[in-house]
Amino acid sequence: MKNTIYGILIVITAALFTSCEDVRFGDNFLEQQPESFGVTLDTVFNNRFNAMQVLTKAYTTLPYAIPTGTSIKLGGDLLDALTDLSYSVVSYGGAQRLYYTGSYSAGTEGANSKYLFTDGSAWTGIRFAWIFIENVDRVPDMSAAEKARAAAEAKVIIATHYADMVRHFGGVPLLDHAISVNEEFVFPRQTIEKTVDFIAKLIDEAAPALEWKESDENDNGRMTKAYALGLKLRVLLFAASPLFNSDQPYFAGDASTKKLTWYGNYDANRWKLAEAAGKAFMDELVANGRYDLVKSNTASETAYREAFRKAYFERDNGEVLLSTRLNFKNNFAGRFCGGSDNFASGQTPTLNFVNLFPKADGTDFPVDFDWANAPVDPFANRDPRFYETILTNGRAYKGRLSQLYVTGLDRNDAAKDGTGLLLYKFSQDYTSATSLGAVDSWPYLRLAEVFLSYAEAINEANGAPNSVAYDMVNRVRNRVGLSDLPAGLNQQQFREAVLRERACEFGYEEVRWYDIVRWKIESAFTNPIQGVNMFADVTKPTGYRYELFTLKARAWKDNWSAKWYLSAFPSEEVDKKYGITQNPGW
Amino acid sequence: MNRLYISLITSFAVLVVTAQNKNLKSQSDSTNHSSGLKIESSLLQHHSQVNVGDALYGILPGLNVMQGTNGTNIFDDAPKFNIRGLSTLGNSNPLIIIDGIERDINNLSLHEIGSVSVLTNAVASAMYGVRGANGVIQITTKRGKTGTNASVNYSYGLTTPYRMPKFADAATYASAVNEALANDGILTPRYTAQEIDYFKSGEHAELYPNVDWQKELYESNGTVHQVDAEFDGGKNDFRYYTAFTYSNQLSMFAPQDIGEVYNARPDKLHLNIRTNLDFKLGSTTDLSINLLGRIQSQTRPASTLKDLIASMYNTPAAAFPVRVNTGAWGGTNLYTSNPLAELSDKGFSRVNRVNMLADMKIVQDLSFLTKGLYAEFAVAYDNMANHLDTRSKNYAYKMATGTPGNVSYQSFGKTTELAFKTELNSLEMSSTVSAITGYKFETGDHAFDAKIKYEQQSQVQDGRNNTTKRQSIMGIVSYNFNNKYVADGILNYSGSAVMPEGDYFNLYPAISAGWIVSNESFFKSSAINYLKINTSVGLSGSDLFGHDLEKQFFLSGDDYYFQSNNQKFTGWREGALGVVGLKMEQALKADLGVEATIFNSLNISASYFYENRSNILVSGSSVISGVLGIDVPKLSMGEVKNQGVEFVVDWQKKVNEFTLGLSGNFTYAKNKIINMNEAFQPESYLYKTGNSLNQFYGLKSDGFFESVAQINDPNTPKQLFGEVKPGDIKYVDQNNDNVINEYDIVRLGYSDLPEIYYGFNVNVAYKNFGISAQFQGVANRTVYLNESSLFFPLRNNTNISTWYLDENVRWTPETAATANLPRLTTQDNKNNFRANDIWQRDGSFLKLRNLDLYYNLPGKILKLTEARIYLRGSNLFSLDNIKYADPEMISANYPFMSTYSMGVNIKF
Repeated sequence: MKNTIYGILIVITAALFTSCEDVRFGDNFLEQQPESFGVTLDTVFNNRFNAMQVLTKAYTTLPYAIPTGTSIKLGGDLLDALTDLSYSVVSYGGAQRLYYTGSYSAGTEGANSKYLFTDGSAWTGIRFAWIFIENVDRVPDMSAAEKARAAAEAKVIIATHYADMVRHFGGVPLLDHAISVNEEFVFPRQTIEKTVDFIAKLIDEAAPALEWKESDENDNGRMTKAYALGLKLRVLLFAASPLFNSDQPYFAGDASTKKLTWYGNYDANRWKLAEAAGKAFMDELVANGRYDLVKSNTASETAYREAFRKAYFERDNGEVLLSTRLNFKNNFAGRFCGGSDNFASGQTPTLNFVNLFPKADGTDFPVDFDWANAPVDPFANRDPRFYETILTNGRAYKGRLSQLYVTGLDRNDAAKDGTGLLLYKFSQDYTSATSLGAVDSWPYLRLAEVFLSYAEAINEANGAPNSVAYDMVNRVRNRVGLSDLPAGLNQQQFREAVLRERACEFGYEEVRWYDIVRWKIESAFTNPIQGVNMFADVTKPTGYRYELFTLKARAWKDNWSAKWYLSAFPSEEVDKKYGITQNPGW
Repeated sequence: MNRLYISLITSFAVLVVTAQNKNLKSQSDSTNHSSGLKIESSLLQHHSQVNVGDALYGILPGLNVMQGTNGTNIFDDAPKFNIRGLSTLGNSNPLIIIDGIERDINNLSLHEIGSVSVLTNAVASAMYGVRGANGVIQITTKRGKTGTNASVNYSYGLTTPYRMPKFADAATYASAVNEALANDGILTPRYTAQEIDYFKSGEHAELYPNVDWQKELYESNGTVHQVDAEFDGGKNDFRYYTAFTYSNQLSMFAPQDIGEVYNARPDKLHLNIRTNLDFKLGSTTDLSINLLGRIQSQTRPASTLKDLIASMYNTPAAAFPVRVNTGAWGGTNLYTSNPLAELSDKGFSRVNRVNMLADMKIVQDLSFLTKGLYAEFAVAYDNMANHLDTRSKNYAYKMATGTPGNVSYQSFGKTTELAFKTELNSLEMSSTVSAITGYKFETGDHAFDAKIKYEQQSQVQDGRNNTTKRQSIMGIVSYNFNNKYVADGILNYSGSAVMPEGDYFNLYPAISAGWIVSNESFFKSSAINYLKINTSVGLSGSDLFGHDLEKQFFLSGDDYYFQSNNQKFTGWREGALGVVGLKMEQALKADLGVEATIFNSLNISASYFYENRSNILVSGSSVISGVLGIDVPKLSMGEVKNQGVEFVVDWQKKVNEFTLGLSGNFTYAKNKIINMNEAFQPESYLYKTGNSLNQFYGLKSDGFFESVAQINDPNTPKQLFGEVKPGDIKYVDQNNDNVINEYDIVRLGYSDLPEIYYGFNVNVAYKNFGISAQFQGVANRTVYLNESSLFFPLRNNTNISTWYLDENVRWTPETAATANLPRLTTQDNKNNFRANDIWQRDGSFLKLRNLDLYYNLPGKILKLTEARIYLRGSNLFSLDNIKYADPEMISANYPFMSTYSMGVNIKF
């Protein structure tokens, strides 16, 4: 009997275990776990192919201002919408939701704000760049020169993120390695001086290992020495400007006492450092060439416009020093303008912006222009960049002429709530070729900016512009057929001319915000924002009537506070008590 | 490997043999650990629900069953179970054990069930080790009895929603939009008085339609057919139970016949065939084999059901006609989906599910070795496959524009052919093996039952990271002293593969003790027939979290376009940092209870329970710096305390031909978050720690703004959610900073999971008539009315319901004094439409879950043993404060149904 029983048990168990082979016992049973992803740090750095993908990931975190959704900075709005150049009508965007209403605060920082301190990708980029730098030596199939160059690229990525952060927040925590799980999580904000020096040092370390411009087409799009030196000038110019470099902090408070928001004094030498950075770049440019402003072959408006368009739009045009390339061929214009085809434009340029553009011959547009008796096209005969930046009535658009008068086709949707004008830059004439098929790279830094920054640094460092400074500005102006700046400008006049030149050249390219902040131009925040309505009016000989109007004032207009110059840190980051001192006023 | 198992059994057997005692007596089972009230199939016989879960509302003490929704398939709306409230921030699903194996309850049909019990005490939880912390629902299926028995049951039912939202007709909608626009400062109305008249009169309906979309899409009812047949019988050495169940459910959706080859009307049919066999192999060996085969087929429109219903709710009556006069589907550039076309003309999707569940158990009496020694061996192998067949298409629609007499059409979309997609949607295989060696013996007044149990379970599913493996070895000892004192002790060494290597196993000890006072010689009471005091305390675990949390991996990341010809390069992304010190979620449970029988007819029990759940995985991001640059690891540091009381009453009385039975249960469970690693909060009332899980939070309202002057008054706190106008909600400034923002959010009401859950059953029989009613209710529950169109009207071109227009008073300058809802607006209005007490309601309810009226045909007609005809209803009414919608389903979804059925049951 006993044997029968055991017999049955054994037969059953044996049958069972032979039928399903993965039945095991003990620890062995629990370990039989299908590995879902087994890629660890060691695997990643055991060959060049994998290791370079870590660097690629760091590249994907680079600043990219083309709206790709609503969970990005400003909820898909453009930074220029916060300046006097543009008015956004995107109801879900950060401009309308946080800044125009004044509801931006430390509590709302991180969602729809202009720089996402921890909700963006900057810290991820910094981490990946450091992981790469720390581990690249382990890769067996890379030459020493290759490793040095790739590590230098990673350092410039770190410098780029810090360059943006210092311009939005002032001094920030400086990470010189990838944080490991086991270390003490204390990362205090550092002073402006340390932050700026940290960025400059990264660039100085990286530059020698980088090529001035890539010699191999396969490296196109990677960090170059030209970009690194241009970035250094951008950062040093910002640092030398009055926001940080002044006798007084822009706003008193704990963070200012700790010199997290300014240097603590004015030092003219900071302008000298910026000038030197500019000179270093120009010396290399003379020696190596290979970059130049995109120029036209003929002296026509069309040709000038084409050259300018190429300059900001094409990724590899010899002028762009760094184009960031997170996307490729999407509905570029639709996104840029905040909507689909029937939601033509979310960004409307202001009359304030219009008035900055000179006439085609380089002379100023009259401030007292008689709009009541305006000609049919009061926007005719302007700086060619004007037409590339702003769409006005009667221009080539969508395969026809634009209708921007009230009740016109292009005033149907968003434009009616805006300034009466539409954005043209990037979206261009809005055909399927320019929108759906566009190559969506972002011109993060252009040679033209280096020229204008160098000109400004010379002017500030020496008390007056010299011929080099003039030459720099005139190169940018001449490219679109504008005359030279008038000679004999004093320091103040030259400074204003340069800032204005920057506005016209870089409208919607994220330059204006930093300019009005670093020069603490309060009027750019508090001046009324104007628009212009065009009506079809048979009583007028021209058939049209123009009416200027003032748009709804932004909250900061009537109770201006200098706190707006720098962003608030997210309150939850301050509350974690790892060393963030809140910026003054927030 | 199998040799290990055999030696395990034999070594224990030897161990027991050497410790054997000569004085062995057979002894009744005194297992205290399986306590927890049981319902037998006799109670379920009053029910006709197709889904087993729907028959369990309020029936079992401690088992909280709430209606659940499934946005994809109507008939998969399985209810959600919780045992004795909620104790974790993680997964709270209880373990469901069917015939000793972890299985999905939806595989069963009601007739197969022999008994259902809920295991709540600490010893029962410890028995299930790493899966025991959330409590256990134990179901056994019916087994054959001797003789030959057969039972056939047929029922036919109609299902109707007992509550349906109502939306404004076209004219009312148009007036509401005009009112909203005026409120928003747009003074030119969207609809002229003439147009509103057209909406009312039905003139020019192509341009001025008035469509009741629910009427267009729904018929008045759905249907359900059920046929069951059960056969059982056998002799002493062989018994069988066989059941066959067929059901066919049809929803009340009524697609239009568009001449296509398919009909997308949602339906479901299922077929179960079960065979449970018991063999006696010789005098000492019992073998049982259970087999269940189930096939199930469900149809639905290819458009997702939730989207379809949302489009039905959100499309105003005035938006467009069902079809324009040319016969094409209606639609506009703004309303791009036509609800009836979405139902009828988008194709269909069919899910076929095939399940095969098999288990076998062998029990060997080893008394020939040592009296009282026995061994058990069980194995189960389940296989489930889901096959999805989707055939979708698109439809074209036209927008009619212009004026009466001068209508033009604009075309949108494109009609496409049916596209084919067939896939094996999911596949699951699970196997369980268990073995027990036990030894029972008695000496004098002492009786012992000791056993060692080994169990391992593996569930392999398709997809990544879906495999679970668990393993336990435990020793259980039960002790009984003269039926006065009973005690159970368990030591379970239980492990799960979710834990890092080397940390798989944890030890779960538990003990319980009972004192049957009524068996003491000093206890003399004619009133109290039975009195028992019991208590238990012990540990159990929960492993319902992901694999490999302690490791860090690199994953494929984002793309970047190098080179001038835009070559795509993909990056390696670093995954979250590994969890440092990952621990198994652990529950410390304790309870204390009293059970009594009074006058031989009244059974009562009362118990207090306590649970402290620790090592719950919580987010680390609230304390770890964001400059880290990658996802912050979770931390095993969450802690929740849950305690409460439970009462059960059961009374049966028979007087002459009258039988009366009353039973009820009541559970109150209150939990408190002890630690959730919460971030610093500037105000003490902002902390969630210390409150209940899922607590509802929001702003406290303080009426509505009356005037612009009031809004601009510097003493009025500035509300920062957007522009505020008269008629918008005014909020209480909690921290007196003169600003209303997220720092003014406070605790409001309760959570959506009730603190109080109760059920009661009334049974009356007189002669051949009988009635059985099952009620169930909840209290201390809060719901948030945030569904667009239903409760949040008109925003983003949505619809408006009669709830807003008629059932409540919205703010207008005239109704300012009595208004309880803010002004109408067409805008997003983040000020009004956010969590606050305006949209919060008491979610308590009392529902009649099941009613059975039956009549047993007298005498032995046609030689039948028993024949019964019955009328049944489920979800017949609800007493609550919501009234407009089902308090358990606020969102846009297929409504929960009342079912009215009639049937006949014949036993041979």
